[in-house]
Amino acid sequence: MKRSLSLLLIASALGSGSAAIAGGQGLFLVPDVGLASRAVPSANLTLIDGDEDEDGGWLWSWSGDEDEDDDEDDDECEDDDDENDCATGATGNAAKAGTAPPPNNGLFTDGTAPVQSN
Amino acid sequence: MKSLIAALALSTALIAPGLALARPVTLTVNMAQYGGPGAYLAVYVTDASGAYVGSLWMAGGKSKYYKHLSDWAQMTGGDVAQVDGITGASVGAGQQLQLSMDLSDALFDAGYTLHIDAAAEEMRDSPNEIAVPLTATGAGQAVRGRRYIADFTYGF
Repeated sequence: MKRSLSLLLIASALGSGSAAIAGGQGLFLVPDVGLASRAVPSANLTLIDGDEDEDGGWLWSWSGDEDEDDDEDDDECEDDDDENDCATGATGNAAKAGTAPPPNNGLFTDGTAPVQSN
Repeated sequence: MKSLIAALALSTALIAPGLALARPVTLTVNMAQYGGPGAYLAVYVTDASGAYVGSLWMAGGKSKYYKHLSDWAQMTGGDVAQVDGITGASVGAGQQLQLSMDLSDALFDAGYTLHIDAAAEEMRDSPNEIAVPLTATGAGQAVRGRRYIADFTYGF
């Protein structure tokens, strides 16, 4: 407020061209120390690392894979997961053992499926 | 000649499964203490010429990671249907995966090889970590892996 009034007076003095007002009244330009002392918001540097070695190389990260919406480390279709999506492969994943017949690749006899026995 | 007999037997297994000779086989994978998260394993078979025949098991449920089982992925084109119905959980360090299955007799002593590709998050891919010929005399013989697998054994 005080500063605004000061600026207004200075502007008036300049505008009227009356040196007497400026000099007589003892007005003087006050350096706006506020600006100098105003704290500058700290610039937080953020290291952006978009350099990921994804394909088969040393120390690739599965969490930075192309499916960015899936940041979970746990398999969605682990043994204790009873979601139907895992059973049916609706998510694009293979059907879990016991939820679908094994592939007809000639390796298994009578269509019997392998089972995890431990 | 031997390959021809094996091929005929395998064909018989496909056409008339009831007539094919089969044997119950147990596959045992003992994981090493590799100091990382659960590993994905692809267990599959190639014939005498190295051509892919089929998969026996996939440990690990998310197909988007199958590309890190690079030899398997290359041979199958990443075809998820190859492991439909034979997929289980990934296997942790120090853990054991034991599988029981009936396999055709024709696979043994006929030039077929069992392979295991392995991979784990933030660790190096290990294609073909295990490659063992399927033979009658090879049963019970432990084969050492080089990174994720301490040893692998198949038995009757």
